[in-house]
Amino acid sequence: MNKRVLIVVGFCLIILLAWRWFFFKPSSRLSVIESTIQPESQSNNVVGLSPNSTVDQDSVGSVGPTESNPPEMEGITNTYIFSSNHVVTRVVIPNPEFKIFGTPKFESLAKTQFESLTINSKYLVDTNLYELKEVFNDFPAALNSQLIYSGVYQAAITTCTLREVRQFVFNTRYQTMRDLEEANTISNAAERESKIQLIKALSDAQLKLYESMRQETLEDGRKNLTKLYGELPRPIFQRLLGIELRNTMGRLPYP
Amino acid sequence: MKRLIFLAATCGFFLLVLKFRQIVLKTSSFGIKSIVSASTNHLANIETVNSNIRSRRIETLGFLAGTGPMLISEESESGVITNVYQFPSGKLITEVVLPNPRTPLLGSVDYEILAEQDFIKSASVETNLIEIKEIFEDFPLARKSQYLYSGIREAYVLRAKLYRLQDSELLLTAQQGVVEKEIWSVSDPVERELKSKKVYNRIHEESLKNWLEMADSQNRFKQRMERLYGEFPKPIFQRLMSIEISGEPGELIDP
Repeated sequence: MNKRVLIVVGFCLIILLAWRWFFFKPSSRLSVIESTIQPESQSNNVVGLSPNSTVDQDSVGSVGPTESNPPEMEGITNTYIFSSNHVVTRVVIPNPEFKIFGTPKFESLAKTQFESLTINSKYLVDTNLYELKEVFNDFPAALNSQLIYSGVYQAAITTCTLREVRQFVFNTRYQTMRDLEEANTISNAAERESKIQLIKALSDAQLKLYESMRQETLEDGRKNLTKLYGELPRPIFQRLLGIELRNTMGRLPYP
Repeated sequence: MKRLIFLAATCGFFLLVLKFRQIVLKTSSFGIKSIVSASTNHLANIETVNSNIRSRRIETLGFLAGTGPMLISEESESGVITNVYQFPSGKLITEVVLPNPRTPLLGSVDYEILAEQDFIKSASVETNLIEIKEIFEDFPLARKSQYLYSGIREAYVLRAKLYRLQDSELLLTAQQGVVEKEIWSVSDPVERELKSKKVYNRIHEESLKNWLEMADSQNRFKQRMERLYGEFPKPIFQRLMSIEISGEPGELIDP
């Protein structure tokens, strides 16, 4: 019975990860090139998820090859280990434009993108974009760097990704609620209990994965902005995160 | 010149049409607390209901005020809130929220004492309350005032409310599948079309109401903070908007 549950949990996690990698694409990251879940024990409980090792975590933007990747592949490898000894490996490749993050070229592209969504926009302008810029105007290091629009672009990516993650969390909770309702209609008590356990374990693992994604997004955003300006005071970062954009800023037209 | 007169006449005609389109439908009442429904033929009638209006806020969505959805929210000295929602269809909803008589008014010593007790009780579970306190401590007027915890409590309530409203919005999206199923269960194509229109209008209206409520609750919070501290800087507000709240605050009730 335990083995069956373990296989089903593993299978569901693979589907979840595949779905997450296909549909969750933060603008600063391109795609996941490898995902594995390796069951290493017979335990049927997926209780905890914690990063086992993090390779090159701070290199979104100007990433270098990681130890585990072939030299031509640039990316971030995050390995998570469940308390049941399941291992989840995520490799994420940044969008190509982030190779030039922090350069005048990137700044120029970000500025053009900003203007196309504000002064040159044919549609309703999201005034919160101006609010983001205003925060950077209150930050002397950003003003002196001449890289304000790169910061606006990075901040927009961070807040939009956080909003997406929040949506995933909500969807998971909603789906779990519906699945549990359905499971409760099973007449066989043992089968019902087993199904409920499975749904809860899967939901728990999903939520933990999303929490790790949320933390990574915050950390990436903070590190990239610090890289741009040399420092990032906490109040400034809080102000940036407090401004919600209705739409994403879109990809920069980098070849 | 003739063209100008023709244009002015056309505009006048459209304005008249818009005015007549504001057919008042039956009002409904809902909300967390005791709600009284008031039937009204015109927005101006609301003013006669509350002669001691303390504050008034108007929220609009869209390009021009008066053409899109609108919320007029009025709060009396006693804390009674009257919300009038006006939708593009011409539908009007009046919502009256009566405060709990055992909850002291904001700005009183009793409120501050209860807010401090609530902070001490809740901070161990809702750890981000400590971050909210740190932000208020960076605001000299709040720090020096006798009402530090009142502000923290208000921010806590606002953040929780915004998350609740966001969840309602996400729920509307998540229920899309259920709604479609409901529509397609109708066999007659004409009836199905009617049902589809009705259902989607309801969803659209609920969504607009959420958006208006979100904007209004933020402005209400700012108004209350200004009344409490004399002023409320934008950077402090922006920082507070980045704080995540997971639970629902309990009521502040005088023992």
